[in-house]
Amino acid sequence: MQVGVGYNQENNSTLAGRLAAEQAVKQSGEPAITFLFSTENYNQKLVFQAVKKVIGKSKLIGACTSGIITNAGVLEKGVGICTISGSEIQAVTCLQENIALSPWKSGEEAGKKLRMSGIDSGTVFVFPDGFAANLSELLRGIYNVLGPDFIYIGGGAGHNLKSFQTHQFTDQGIKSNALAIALVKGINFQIGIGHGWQPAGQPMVITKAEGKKVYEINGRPAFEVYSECLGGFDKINFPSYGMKHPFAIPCVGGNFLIRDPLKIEEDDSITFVTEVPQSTVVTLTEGTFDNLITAAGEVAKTAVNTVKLPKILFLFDCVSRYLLMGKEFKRELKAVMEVIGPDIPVMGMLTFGEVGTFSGIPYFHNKSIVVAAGW
Amino acid sequence: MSVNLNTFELFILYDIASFSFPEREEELMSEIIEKSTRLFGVRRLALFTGEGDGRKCLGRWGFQKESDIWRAVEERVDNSFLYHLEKGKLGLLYLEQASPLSERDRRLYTIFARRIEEILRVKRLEREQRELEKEKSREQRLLLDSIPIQVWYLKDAETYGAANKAHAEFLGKKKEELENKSLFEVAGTKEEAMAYIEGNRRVFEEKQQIQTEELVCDGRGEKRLLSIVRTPGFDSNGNVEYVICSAQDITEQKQAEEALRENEERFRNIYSQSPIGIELYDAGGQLIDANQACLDIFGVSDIEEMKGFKLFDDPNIPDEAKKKLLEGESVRYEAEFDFDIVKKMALYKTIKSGTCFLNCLITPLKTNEGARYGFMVQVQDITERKQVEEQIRYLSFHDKLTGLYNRAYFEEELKRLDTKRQLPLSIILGDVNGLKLVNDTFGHHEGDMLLRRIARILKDSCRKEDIVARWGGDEFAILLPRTPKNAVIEVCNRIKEACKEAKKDPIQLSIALGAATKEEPGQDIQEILREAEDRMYRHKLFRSKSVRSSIISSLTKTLQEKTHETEEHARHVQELALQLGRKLELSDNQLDELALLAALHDIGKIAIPNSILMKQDMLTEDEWEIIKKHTEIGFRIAQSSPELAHIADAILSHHERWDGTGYPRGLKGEEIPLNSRIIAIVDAYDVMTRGRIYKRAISRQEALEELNRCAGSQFDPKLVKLFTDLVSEVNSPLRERFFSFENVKSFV
Repeated sequence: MQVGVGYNQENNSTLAGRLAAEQAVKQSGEPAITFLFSTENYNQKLVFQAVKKVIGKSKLIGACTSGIITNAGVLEKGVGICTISGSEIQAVTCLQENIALSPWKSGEEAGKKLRMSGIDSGTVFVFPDGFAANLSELLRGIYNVLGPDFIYIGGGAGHNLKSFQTHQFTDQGIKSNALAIALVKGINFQIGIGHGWQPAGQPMVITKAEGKKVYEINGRPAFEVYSECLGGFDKINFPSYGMKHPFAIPCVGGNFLIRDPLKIEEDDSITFVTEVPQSTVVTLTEGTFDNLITAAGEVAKTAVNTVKLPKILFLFDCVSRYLLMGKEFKRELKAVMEVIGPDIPVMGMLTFGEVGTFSGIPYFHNKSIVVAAGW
Repeated sequence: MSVNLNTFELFILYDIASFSFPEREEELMSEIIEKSTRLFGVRRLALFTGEGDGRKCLGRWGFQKESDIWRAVEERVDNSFLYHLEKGKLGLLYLEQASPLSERDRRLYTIFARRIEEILRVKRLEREQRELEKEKSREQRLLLDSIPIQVWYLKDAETYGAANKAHAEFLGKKKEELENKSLFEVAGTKEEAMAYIEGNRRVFEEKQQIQTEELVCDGRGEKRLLSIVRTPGFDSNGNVEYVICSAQDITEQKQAEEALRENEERFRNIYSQSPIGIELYDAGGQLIDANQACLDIFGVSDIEEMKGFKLFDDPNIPDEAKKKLLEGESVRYEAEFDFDIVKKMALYKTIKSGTCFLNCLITPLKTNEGARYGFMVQVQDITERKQVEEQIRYLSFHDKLTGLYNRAYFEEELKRLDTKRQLPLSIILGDVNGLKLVNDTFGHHEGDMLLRRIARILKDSCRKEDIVARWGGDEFAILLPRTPKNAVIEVCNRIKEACKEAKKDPIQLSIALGAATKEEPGQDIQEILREAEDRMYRHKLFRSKSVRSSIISSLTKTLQEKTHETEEHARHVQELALQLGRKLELSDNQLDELALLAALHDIGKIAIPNSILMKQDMLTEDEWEIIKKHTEIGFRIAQSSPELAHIADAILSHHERWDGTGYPRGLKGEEIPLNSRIIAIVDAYDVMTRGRIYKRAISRQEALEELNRCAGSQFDPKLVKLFTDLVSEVNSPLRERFFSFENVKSFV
């Protein structure tokens, strides 16, 4: 297996794409699978076309992002390419459209298409539109078809919150409101996932919720309870509180899934980045930068604790952590890089929700970091 | 990033306890998958509900196909958990994780499974309840759809909830077409919809049941009358949440009620306005009601005054009739009703007194089963009818003109009295003299008066038990039971005396009588009748001439008295006529005729009213016509007597004129009988020379000049020449032959 990583920050979309691809292909040779991450300030179509010209028949998967993560740090503008070649590698991709309509079914259909390839084990890369509805359902639909014999890694395609459209790529094309999914066999991956947020306060029950919107907590308006738990604040101050005090939902193994509150609605309901199921127990969380950074380091350690030396490291870090920590985000990357060392090429992106497994089951995470080391 | 396991277990338990009770199975399965995967890291799961052959897979996750589940269940690896929900009756839960189950895992899975079990149990109860309600609802719907009454409910004033079959069919729609529909969509027109909505709004506002009768268009566009009951249903705050409506089509019922009411009114009108009095009594004979006609008959002002009156207390009902009524028979009778008895017995207050005749029909009223429930009395006052009957009876046996019995009655009585006990039975027949003459002369009215006077005389001359009858025309018959011959003769004499003494108006009363008597039972009464008739005719014949002459003399005398014409004038006319006749060398017979004509040529004036005859002013045209009739009347009088018949024509023509402009026939020249021409001249001459009350006399010369002047126009010119010559001679023998009216009498 050969890995190539390339990135470019040319203004010209076509140029950026071509140069990044060429750089990667130069290292890997003709790839079996190509990963494409492009910041949203490029013409995605031109980037896509340019990359495709370079990678030839390689399977491709990718998404737009608000930032590309490389060994050098986060590129808020750029095209990042990772190409992997090897005769033992089998890959199949699927670009499933209109996933918002029926996420579970869309997931199942995507899973069926992947299964048709005959590949019965491997790693599933999942890059859905991060703003599409109920990505947890989407994942469960995929899993319902593919089952526990696969590892699931990925992240929601997003942007810098200034535009309303994201893009997902496979070798079949470029779409929005879609799921770009690839099944890759022949590469081993070890995953680490974590966040660093600490539960704080009493457990509460989401008594009324629908999709990403929570209406009531403990039978009372959501914002009213949230504000009360945090000592009371006005709606206008919500963004700073929401960034720092996400919700935690208990998950297997004593873990918590984080749910990031996004905005307050007129009716005092709270819209989250990802779905919060009704009748779920939640707690508020708190976290210092140090907690977050320490957690990132632990995740990296878990990922690189492999049998063999990893040849590639995929890093999917939540854009909210980047926005929250600001300049301090460098420390998080540093924590990760210090663990993995300088020799392992890194390719990743700032994501809008992360896909990773606990106990082999894929979950959609918020405000988390997923590190996948492949060999 | 993790917490203490005990604390975390609390989170799990809390999360398990927070299981919702979603309506749909898909949502429940989705929640089971979400919680089990999240809390336990379940990598595969399956949930079956039901048992035995009814078991079905509610949902699975992580399995490719159902058979994989059963294989896993059978293999039961140590990382799987199998739970029999409600000991398998409710279903089966299979959970599988990546690592082998610990005790804690089993404990938590058990809690999880029991929570699911509880949910499924509740859902089963809910389902059974729903099934029950559905069945109940279906039964209710079937029941509602089977009844003919329309039922529907409204969500608000303008919107249907649902309706039963009857209501949908009434509107010509299917039930589904009404469910949750606006009334504006269902009604034919906006106005119809608004009318419905108005009624609905009232219930929502007034919050109480309202019943109305409304004209509604059905599916065929026909207006039907519905009786609609709207009943509100309330929510927990006491507001009207819905309205249940029921309706019955009462169009035919209303029409029938209206028809019945009209019928009742019609019958009531017939009852109240019937000219026949109607009384209604109950089974015991107590008066219930009576119509106005009945009250009028009995002279009662108000029905209240008759209240309490009992049918069987009425003394005017014959006992026999009462008996029949009680036996259930109808009775009809006519009887004299005495108001005085009613007053005496104080049966009820009546303003009438005396008696009247009533026709009564009393009918027992019975049900279809034959039980008597009352009586109906129909009563008519037939007093007038009785009087008319009496009158008819009277007229059928009496002569209207004279008031005597008629021939039919006489003959009946003749048969009846022709018995031994009534012997000797006498018969008198009479024939009035001069009736034709009076009828012809004075008219039939005078003739009728004559008969009435004769009838009076006959009645007054007989006994009460005698049957005096007008036999026919101018003939009368008298039947005298137990009357011998001599008594009969006395009766005849009485009658004649009475006639003689009666006033001559216009003529002397005269009747020819003939009598006969049956003395032996063996005698044939018809023979006796014929005998009387023969005697009457013989008498008449014997006396006819003298009677006739007597009548005519009487008429002539009356005429003289009436017109003041003197015997002297009559004699002069006669003399002048005879002189002229001799001059004409007439025969003796002709001269006799001429003399008679001279005496009787104006006899017809007897029938002319005095007021015209003696009028001094100019006559009107009508009066002149009446005067001119005297020639015809005179003609008829002369014709009625054989002795005068030969001068009848001359009497008729004595006012003809030579030039044909006379009357009555307009005869001309010698068409006029000679005697008439002679009388015309001599009568005119004598009148001119003698004068009248209204005109002075002129000299002989002047009279002759007048005659000559009119010769050829009024008078025969030859006869005028002869008469002029005759009168001009000195010492003409005017007294040669003198006919006095006494002579006329003997002549006739």
